[in-house]
Amino acid sequence: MRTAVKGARLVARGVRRSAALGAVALIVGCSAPSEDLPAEAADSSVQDPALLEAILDDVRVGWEQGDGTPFYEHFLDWQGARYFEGGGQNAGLDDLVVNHVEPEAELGLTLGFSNVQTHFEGQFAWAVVDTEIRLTTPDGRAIHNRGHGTYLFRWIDGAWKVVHTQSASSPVR
Amino acid sequence: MTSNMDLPSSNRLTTVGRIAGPAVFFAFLVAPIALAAQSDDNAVVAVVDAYHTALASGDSTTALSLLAEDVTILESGGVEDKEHYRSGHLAGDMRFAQAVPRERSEITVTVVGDVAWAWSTSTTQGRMGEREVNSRGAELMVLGRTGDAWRIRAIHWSSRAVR
Repeated sequence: MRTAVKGARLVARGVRRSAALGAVALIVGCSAPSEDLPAEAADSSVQDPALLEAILDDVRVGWEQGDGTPFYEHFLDWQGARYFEGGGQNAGLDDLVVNHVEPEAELGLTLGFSNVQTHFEGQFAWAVVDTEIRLTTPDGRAIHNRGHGTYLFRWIDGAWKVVHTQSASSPVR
Repeated sequence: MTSNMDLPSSNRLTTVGRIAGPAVFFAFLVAPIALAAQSDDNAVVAVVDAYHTALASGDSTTALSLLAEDVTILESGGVEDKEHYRSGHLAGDMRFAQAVPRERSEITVTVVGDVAWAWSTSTTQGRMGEREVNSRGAELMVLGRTGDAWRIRAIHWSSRAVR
């Protein structure tokens, strides 16, 4: 009987210890990086369309020049990253830069972004942009398309990071 | 090597306490958080699925009810708000969904607080009137949560013909 009581106390002690650990975990969780904070916690200065527009312009120039630097600076390199164009996709940042950005610049790409519409929800944002694309394919075909891009962002470590993109365009008639 | 059963009974109970503590911690603190995250993912997928089911069954009322009032819809090179979509592409999207079979990949969902995005790819093959359709597509949806309900805030559909 005494052993059973002692055992129960020990179990209770284990539970209390775990509860304390849980409390610590919750406190630590609450003070963790702010990307998971609710929308109202976001600083209004963070929700500045100009921040997203500047990133998009860096990215636009990076596309034209075949320069991966702005992509590595502004895109979050994470395991689930996907970048869609038309029905195709690049999986991960290196795939995007090496197999899409760099080769397309060699085709004399000019890229226009206009009418940027931004939406903010706390530590998350998205931008929809009109696009205009001109390039010449290796077999000499001139491409002139217009379309749209959607860029998703998360506020991480004090900066907006692109976490997903999708774009599509069709020939200008 | 000593098994637990070789220990004196009080020490055995100590070991039980050590095991029970983390188990309780998991059961009461970690598991609910994990379940809540899973539940959010499932709720988002359910809305995306319900939207496509509504299109395929010609149920415009349900389809529109799943769109937020400020939704932006990008497809076929155009941008539409809810009102324009209602009187514009919605009817065509329902006819297309009913006429042409679509095979979709698993939906990948990321939830960030009260916002989520969901993407998937698909292949669409069949006939729409006189037109043969064989294309690969991608779908991106941004969803927002108000109360307990997830609603679609943005859709971007893109596709290319399979050659």
